[in-house]
Amino acid sequence: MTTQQMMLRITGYTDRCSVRPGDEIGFHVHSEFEEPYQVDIVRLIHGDTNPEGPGFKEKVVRTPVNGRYRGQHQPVHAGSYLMVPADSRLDVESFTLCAYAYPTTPTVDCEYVPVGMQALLTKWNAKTDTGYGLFINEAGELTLRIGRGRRRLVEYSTRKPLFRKVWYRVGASYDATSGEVRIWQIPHVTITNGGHGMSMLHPHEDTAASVRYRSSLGPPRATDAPFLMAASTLVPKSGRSVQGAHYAQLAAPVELPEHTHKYNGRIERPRVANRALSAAEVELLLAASSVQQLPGELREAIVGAWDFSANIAENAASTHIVDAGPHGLHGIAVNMPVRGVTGFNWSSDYMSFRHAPQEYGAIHFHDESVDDARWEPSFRLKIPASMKSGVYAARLRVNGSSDPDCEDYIPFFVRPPADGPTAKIAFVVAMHSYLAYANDNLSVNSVIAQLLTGQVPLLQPGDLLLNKERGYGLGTYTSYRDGWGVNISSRLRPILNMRPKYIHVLSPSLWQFNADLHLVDWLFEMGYDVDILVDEDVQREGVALLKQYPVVLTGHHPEYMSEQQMQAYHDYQHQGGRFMYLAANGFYWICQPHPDNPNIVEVRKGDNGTRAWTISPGEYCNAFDGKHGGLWRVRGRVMSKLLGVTFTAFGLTYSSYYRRAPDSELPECRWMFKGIGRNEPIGNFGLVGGGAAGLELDRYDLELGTPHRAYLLAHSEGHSDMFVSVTEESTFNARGIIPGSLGDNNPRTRADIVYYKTPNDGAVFSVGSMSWCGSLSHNGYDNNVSRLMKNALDGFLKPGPLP
Amino acid sequence: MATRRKTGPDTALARDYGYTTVDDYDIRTYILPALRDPVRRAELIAEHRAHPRGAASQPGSPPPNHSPDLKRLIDRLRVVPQAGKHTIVETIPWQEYAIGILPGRRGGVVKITRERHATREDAEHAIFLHRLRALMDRYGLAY
Repeated sequence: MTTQQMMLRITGYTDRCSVRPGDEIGFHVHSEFEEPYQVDIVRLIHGDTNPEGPGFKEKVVRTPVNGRYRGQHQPVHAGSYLMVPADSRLDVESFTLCAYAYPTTPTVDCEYVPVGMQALLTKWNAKTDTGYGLFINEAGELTLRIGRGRRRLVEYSTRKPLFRKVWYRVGASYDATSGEVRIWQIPHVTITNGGHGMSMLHPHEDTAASVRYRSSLGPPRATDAPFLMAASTLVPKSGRSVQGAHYAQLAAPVELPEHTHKYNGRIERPRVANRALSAAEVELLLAASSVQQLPGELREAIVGAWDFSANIAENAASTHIVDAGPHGLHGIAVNMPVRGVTGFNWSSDYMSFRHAPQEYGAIHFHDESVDDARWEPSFRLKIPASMKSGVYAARLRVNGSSDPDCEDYIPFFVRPPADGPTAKIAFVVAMHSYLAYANDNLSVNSVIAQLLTGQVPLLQPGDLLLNKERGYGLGTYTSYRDGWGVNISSRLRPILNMRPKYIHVLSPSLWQFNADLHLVDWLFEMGYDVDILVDEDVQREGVALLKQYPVVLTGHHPEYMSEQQMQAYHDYQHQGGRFMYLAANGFYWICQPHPDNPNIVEVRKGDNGTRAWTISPGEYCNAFDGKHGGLWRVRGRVMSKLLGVTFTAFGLTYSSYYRRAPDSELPECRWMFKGIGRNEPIGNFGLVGGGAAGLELDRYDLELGTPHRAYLLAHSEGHSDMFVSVTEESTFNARGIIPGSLGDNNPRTRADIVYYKTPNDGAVFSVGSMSWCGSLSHNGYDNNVSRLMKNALDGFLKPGPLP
Repeated sequence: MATRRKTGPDTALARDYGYTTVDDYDIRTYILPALRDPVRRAELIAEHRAHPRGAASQPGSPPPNHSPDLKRLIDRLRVVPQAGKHTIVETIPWQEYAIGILPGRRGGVVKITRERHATREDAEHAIFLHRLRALMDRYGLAY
């Protein structure tokens, strides 16, 4: 069996994730080999295929879209760039191109894989070799290309390599009358501006260059390619357009090119002039923060002078790129390059772009980023009025085959009709957390994953496709190939680790979406009616939505929360809501949806927290709302204030069990333990690591906001030495120290079950473990985890005061 | 092919000499003594075979941790570079597991070898033996 035979051959995504009866939802499907496929809409009950559990459960739902479809191969055009639509004023004969640039893969990526030619500022058609452009060549040298078509092109380079993580003034000019070409790269290094790059650049001559040439080719031929920054044009019209959502500023659709020569790194103050400027003029042009400061003669030569700091006062989420020059040749940002990042002049006097936008005028580009796959729609489903709230999927099968490489599921979530709840219980699906973990590709890329999990990753057909497709834009547990952490994640692309039947790299079995189906299954089998909501519903509708339900449940890992969600859960608890946190490490990272598109979220991981990467100096604030990113605890909203417990340790390996604590025998609490013996271990079984206390663990902590009247019902013990403490509590590492130490022989390595009452007859029940829900189905759902859950849930559903 | 261009002398710094030298010292000091002893080596292999991926904790027994020598060994084997590293590919869910070779980078192809195992644990142990053999070869030790 070859890799190709094993790899997933079909996949897709939806245009929205939360729908009501009557709504329409679009599905976008890619077929690797353009094979026909069968679609069936299914209700998902249980996604775990482990033979030791109840097995996979789905129910086919008859809908008009069920049927056979023709497969269409749909590539993703990854890589962020800026586009200024084609304009004749940019078809110059003589010209100057200049900017500040901070290359992060001048020759090779962090795996030492050659990156190839990268484009900085181009009006260049790579298929026809027409136009002009400033590039970085394969040897890492700044290069000017002038093309007149049919391979009639010339290249002039600085013959010196650019260094990684160093700011430069870069540029080139061409005088069509004299044929003179000038090209220069001048390091622009301060003590602070390079982030973690070097500031002692000596000898300067290793990388500084200014070179003159004489060209006899003649001026560049005009091309219909748009003007691109951080890419060049492969095909001027790709058939894919943008408008609306995070392109709300566009009055009409703008068709995108297919791009190439993708650049990794930053660009700031890009300028185009329609004549060869002198060195002194270039210096003035790049130094001026405003075009208005320039002499009139120089201003008249400007074709475009884009100011990336112009519209980042409140947030840096806009895809609108302002041209401050005389012609207003505004552009758009494609694939969400990172804004709100430090520029060539960052002094470290400010830590937020909101406080000093003039020092955050750079944009960082990555050649793997994706904001939207922009695939052609394949079919649309109108949610039938009879469709009960639940977790659903479009099941795709190539030629009707259920072989693992031929089958994919595209999940979506049906909430109740607009006229009100259909149940007393709501389960909020942690879509923001699914997005954070999307397409991590850790099985193939991460060295540390095997240490965290104590096992070799298991690759399934989707993992093989994902690696081939470079992660379809990746997720926030990964770094781009230039070493920068992925801080933006979109749902508008296949998310291959958000699938039933999926076995996750960060667990001995399941994690996130598929693990949350353990809870869906238990609620279904126990006969509870439940309404399914999604993070973005809570984000948009707040406590008004939650308070329609006496009881609200989380899944097993709602780790990523926006400010609006945090507020909604706080208000829900104060207004008498009863909240069951069936998880660990929840409400941990600050996660902000794009202000105009809930399908795209941002996460910035600061200096603190158990994290996959660390943000660069001065870049702690989210582009999407301008507020400090990172851990909620650094903004005074530590999770234990809402959950009674705080993240304490983790071991992405086998699990353990709980012991009852004395509070569980108090009159206020013992109703939850009906049918459970005083000395009975709780949950020494289950489908996630063989125990109900596992993966990630939370403990109560009165110093960190656990309410003073909280009850400790149970705690786990006996976790293996694969467990470690969380890094945010580590100040000094020392052998034998308790906080910040290894997990075994450490009383902070435990999951606590905590219960407390809130105003207006509300309450919170927290289990402090991510493997809790995996134990619910053990022994035909007859076990003490299931019993404790049922007792607590039934008690929470009863109106009136709790015992 | 473009490579990271040299801009000065080929210094120890550029070759990460400090890391690789101390890494070599650590392996010789902490890992190899147990591997040189055939009896101890066989014990470590048998211990790994019993619980290649660990096990759940149970009341009444201490957590099923690996022995200190096995921990040091497997932790070192797990951090070999991604390129060319063994992995497990699920070929028939819950029935058949193939040994694959990672490309070490995104966009590359995971090579699937002919080697098959009936359980994930068997595949895990087989990879442990492959990696152990490679480490011993590197230090000229007979397996």
